Amino acid sequence: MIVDAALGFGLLIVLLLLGVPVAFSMLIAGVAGIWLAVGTGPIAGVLAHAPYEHVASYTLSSVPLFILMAEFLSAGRFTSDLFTISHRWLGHLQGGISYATVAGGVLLAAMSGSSTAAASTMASVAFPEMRRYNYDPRFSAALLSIVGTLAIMIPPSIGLILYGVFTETSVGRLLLAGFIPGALTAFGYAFTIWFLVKRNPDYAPQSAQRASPADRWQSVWAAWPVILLLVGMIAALYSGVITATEVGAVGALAALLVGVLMGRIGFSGFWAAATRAARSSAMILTIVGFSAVIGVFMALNGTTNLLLSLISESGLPSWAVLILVLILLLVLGFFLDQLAILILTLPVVFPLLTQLGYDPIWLGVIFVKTAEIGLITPPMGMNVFVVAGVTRMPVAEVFKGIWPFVVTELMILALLVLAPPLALWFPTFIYG
Amino acid sequence: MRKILGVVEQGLLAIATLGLVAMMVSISIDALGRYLFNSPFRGNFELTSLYFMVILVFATLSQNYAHGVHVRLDVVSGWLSRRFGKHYTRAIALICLPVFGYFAWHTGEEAIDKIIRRETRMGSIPFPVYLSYIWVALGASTLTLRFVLDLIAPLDPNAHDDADRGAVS
Repeated sequence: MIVDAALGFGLLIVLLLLGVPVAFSMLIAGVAGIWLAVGTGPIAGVLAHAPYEHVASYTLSSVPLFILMAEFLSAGRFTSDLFTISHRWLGHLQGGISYATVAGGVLLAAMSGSSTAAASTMASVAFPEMRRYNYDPRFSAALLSIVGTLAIMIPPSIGLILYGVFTETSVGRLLLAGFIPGALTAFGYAFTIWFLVKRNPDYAPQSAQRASPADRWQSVWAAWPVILLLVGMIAALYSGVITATEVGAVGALAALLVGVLMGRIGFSGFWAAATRAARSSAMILTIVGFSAVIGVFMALNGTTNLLLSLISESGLPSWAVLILVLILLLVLGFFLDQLAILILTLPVVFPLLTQLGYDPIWLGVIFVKTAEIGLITPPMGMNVFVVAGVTRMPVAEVFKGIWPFVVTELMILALLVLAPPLALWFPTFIYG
Repeated sequence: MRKILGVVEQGLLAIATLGLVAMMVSISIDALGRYLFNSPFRGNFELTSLYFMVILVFATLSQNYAHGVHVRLDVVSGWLSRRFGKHYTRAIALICLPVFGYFAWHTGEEAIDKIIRRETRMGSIPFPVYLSYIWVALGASTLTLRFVLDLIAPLDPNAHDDADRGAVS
C-alpha cells in the first residue's frame, strides 16, 4: 500500500516538475496509481464517470460566475473607479497611494473572487500612478502583488467556495467567516506600509495633492453604479437569503447591464471579457474535475486511512498536528498552485483535523489563508508573476520586495490560529 | 491539420463562452423569478450542472492547452523547454497521449452507449444526459488530436505564438 502510494505520488511530482499541466498530471498519476493499487479493471469506469460527475455541479458554478463578474467590471473600467475613490480620499497621506491601493484592493476583492485578476487589475491601474509620484518600483510591485491576495479571503472568495465544495462545508458560512480575517489582513498591509515608509521614506517620497471635498465626493458619485452593486451583493450574501451562486449570476448580469447602459461595454468588450472568464474558470474547473481521478486512487489505496490512524495513534497533541499540517501547506505553497494544494491535501488533512475536534469553518479560513501566502512566495508566487508581467518589472525584483509582507501574513496567520473567534464570530452571529 | 484543429478549438471555446453567458442568464432568471415573482425557472439546476458546467470545462480542454492557459509548474520545465525546444513539446505530448487517448476512447464509448440508451435524468424536468456527456468525449478527442499533432509536428515552445498553434483569433 505504502509503495503504491509512494509510486503514485512520486509520478505526480515528476510530472509536475516536467511541466505537465497540474490538471493533466493529476489525471495521469491517478490512472497510474489506480493501476498499481487494483489493476486495470476500474480505470475505464473511473475515467468515464469521475471527472464528469465532479464538474457537473451546481455549487461549483459560482466559481465561473464570480470570475465573469470580475471580467465585466474590469471591461467596464469600474475597477479603475474604485482606485480613483481611494486615491482621492487617501492619496495625500505619506505613502497615500499605497494605502489607496490597499483600500481599492479591498473594494475589488469584495467583488472579485480571483486573486490573480485582482492583482492584474490593481497593477495596471495603480502602478503608473505610483511611478508618477516616484514610489520605489520594487516596493510598489510587491505591494500590488500582495494586495491581489485579498480577493482570496474577502468574500466572495473562490478558494473558500472550493474548500466548501470539497469538504461539504456550508459555503455561506465560509464566506462570512472570511470577512474579519480579510479586514484584518488589509489592516496588516496598511500597518506594514506605514512601518516601511516610516523607516525608509524613499519608498514613497511624494504624496498626491489633497483632493478638495468636492473632488472626493465627485469620485464617489462617478462610481455610484459599482458602489450600488457592491452594497447589493454584500447585503444579499450576508442576508443568507440567496445562495452564493445566485449572487454571482445576478452580480455578473448587473455588472454587464450597467457597463452596457453607461456605454462602457460594447459587443467586442463583452465577448472578450466572457471569453477570458470562460478560459480561466475552465482552467480551475479542469483541475477540480481531474482531481477526482487521483481522489479515487487515494480512496482505493487506503493511504489516507493509514495516515489518519498512524497520526491518531502517535499520541501527538492536536495543536502539534495542526502546526505540522500548516507547515506542510506552507512548504507546498512554495512549489504548487494553491488550488492543487487544497485538492491534494484536503482528502487527508480535513478528516484528520476535524477528527481532532477542529471546526471545519475555521479550518477553511486557515487553509485558504495559508494558500494565500503561497501566492506571493517564490518560485510559484502566481501574483508576483502577474504583477511583474503587467508592470514589466523583473520577477526577482518583485520577490525581493515581498518579504516584509510575507512576515505580516505569517503574523496574521498565527493570530487566526490562536484566536478562532476571529473567523467564527461573524457566521455564528448571522446564522446562529 | 493544425489550421483545422485550431478552427475546431476556437469553435468549441466560443460554445463554452456562450454556455457561460447562458448560465449567468439562466441562474439570474431563476433567482429573480423566485424572489420577485415567486416563479422559479424550472430546470435551471439541471441545465446549469449537466450542460453549462460540463461544456465549459470539456469544450475548452484543448484550446486552453494549446494556448498555455492550464497552470503548470515551470521551475524545471522553463529550462527544459529552452534547452530542448521542439523535443520538449514532443515529450510532453508523448507522456499525455496514452492516458488522454484512453480517456477519449472510453468517454467516446460511454457517449455512444448513452445515446443508444437515450439516458435521461429524472428531475423537475427530465433532462437527456447523453446530450451533456457528448461534450466530454468531444473535448477529450480534440485534446488527444492536439497531442498527436504535437507529437508529429511539434512547435518550439519558445518561438511559437498563437497563430503558430493554429489559433484563429
